[in-house]
Amino acid sequence: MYINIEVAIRFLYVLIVLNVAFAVVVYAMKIKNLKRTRTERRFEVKIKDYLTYILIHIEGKEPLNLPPFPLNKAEQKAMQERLNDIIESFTGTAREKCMELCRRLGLVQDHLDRLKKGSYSVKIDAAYHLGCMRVQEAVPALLKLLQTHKRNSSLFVIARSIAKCARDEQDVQEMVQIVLRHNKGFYDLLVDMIKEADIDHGALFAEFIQRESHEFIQIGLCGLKDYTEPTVASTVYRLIESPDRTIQYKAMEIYLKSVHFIPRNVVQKLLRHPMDEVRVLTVQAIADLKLARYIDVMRSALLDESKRVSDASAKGLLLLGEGGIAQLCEVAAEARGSERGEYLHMLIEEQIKSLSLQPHDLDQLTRYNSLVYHYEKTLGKNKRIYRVV
Amino acid sequence: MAVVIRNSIQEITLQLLQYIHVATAKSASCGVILAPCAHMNPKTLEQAKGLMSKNDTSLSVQLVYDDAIQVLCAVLEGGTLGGTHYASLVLKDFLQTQHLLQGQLRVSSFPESGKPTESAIAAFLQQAIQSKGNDADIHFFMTANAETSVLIADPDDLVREFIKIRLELKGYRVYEAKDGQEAYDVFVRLLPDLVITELNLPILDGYQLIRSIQRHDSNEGKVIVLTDNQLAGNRSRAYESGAADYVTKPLSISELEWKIKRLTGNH
Repeated sequence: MYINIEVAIRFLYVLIVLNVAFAVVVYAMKIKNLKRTRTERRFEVKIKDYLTYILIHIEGKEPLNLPPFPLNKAEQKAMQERLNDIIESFTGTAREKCMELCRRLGLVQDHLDRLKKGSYSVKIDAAYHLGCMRVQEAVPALLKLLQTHKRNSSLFVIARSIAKCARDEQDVQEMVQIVLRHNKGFYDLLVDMIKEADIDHGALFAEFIQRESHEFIQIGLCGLKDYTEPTVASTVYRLIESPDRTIQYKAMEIYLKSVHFIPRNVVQKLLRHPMDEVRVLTVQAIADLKLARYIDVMRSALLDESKRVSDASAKGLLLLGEGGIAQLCEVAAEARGSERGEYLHMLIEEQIKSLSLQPHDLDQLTRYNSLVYHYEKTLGKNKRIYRVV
Repeated sequence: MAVVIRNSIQEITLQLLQYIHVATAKSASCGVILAPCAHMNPKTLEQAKGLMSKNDTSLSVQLVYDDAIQVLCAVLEGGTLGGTHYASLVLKDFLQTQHLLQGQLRVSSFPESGKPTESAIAAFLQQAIQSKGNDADIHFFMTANAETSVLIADPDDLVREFIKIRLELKGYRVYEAKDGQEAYDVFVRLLPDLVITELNLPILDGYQLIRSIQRHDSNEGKVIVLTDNQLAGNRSRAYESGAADYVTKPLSISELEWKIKRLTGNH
């Protein structure tokens, strides 16, 4: 019993000592942190004028001078953060002058050394900063680091840095190839990274969709979705017949958005497509491009088995002038009594109501008059509808 | 008996004016820094001069200190605005370490900052004297009065600060706002000639701000959108809301400056 109490007391002593030791460690860390924050704040006041100097003369002909005061490690870190922000916020001469200043401040060499010799976390931090400063000579080391990196969020930090530092398309392609090895659909994220590279993005995306690999095609299509040049339409046309449904649909979307004219055979092919989303997109594209020569095709689409296609086609015909409106009313009259006929009838009446509220807009007024005229003529309602002049 | 009252401000104004005229006659430009200081002695003057000359050997530096108004005047022969600004950083660092600085430093370069007339130099000097007791920042002096006003609405401090500095140097009066509501309040109160806005703003977004401005004042060409949003849809929506122009980030200041000039007619 006596022995047990002694052991318990010793154990308590050990616990107390450990508690004190941990408390000392925690407080030391806290004090260190506070000290660093205070130093950074003091430095921010100190460098405020120097940063103003950078901002004012960032686009001038004269090179930016180094700070007129020496910088210690913490100050250098705070300065690096500010310079990163400036580089990310500006383009052209401003960005280049700031990158050159980073080099003269020794920040580039410092991070290159950290990337070579540091621990894992130091390497990731160095990769991030080298990316911000667009240090091209860091690309080989960054690619090497990316090769052996496992899949976690840091992988993308390195990949983005490579894109920012890329010397040419080859560097970006290599980076994409490595990231794709992780076999996950990061397509949008990769496109976002690629857009950070100082290369012709459109050309690279176009090159990607020429490849056999589905993953590269997906990245290319994600990248091209905001392009509206007709050349893009011809680039993606081949993929409209891809066996992969997702690729096919994305290609169709880009094609219809970037094309200025759709040949009849393509229109017919697209309107026979089994996916109703594709048929809807086609009908909408005909209406957007005001291709009145396809009124007959739109008329047939009114009776499509999918209600979405029929609806899009009816709304599209309204945009194709007098001819389109006449066809819409004619089909509605022909299909009177059927579910589709009633639906078209209701849609026309809704449109008349909505257009009658916009007499100040000349286009809408013309459309209103035309619709009312054909509505009366074909659907022959008794109640009088006045034309607005 | 004649009573002679010595007017230090006038004397120093004329002296500065003479220095500037001589300097601009010798080289293309002349930089001037004014710093409110106390207890400057010949030794510290010599030290400051040596430091400034050492930092930029192409500049010929002259320092004048007037005990009565307690302002240190540095005249830099050949000093462009950039060079003079940098020299002011060196001077400020020196004066602060010696605990001599008592207010804001004023920087100017002639003819870049305007025409060096007697009234302009007197106003320059007055600003330096009046800045005594304020934080030791560096400010620029421009002889032209700001006629065109611009409001910048952007939550990013760096972008706001940058545009503000650049436009102030070009002679614009600049107001700032961090969110859409603040921007609208400033707009209603001060009616600036032009608004530069980000689309992603807190409280009222950019589109709502543009529409509110258009409702309040339907004069066209009031708003430039400056955003990192590059999608075509957002661009059309901004134009539909009433924006006069659209500039994307990362920012090219020359592009923005030209667009501002075009819209304000400030050529």
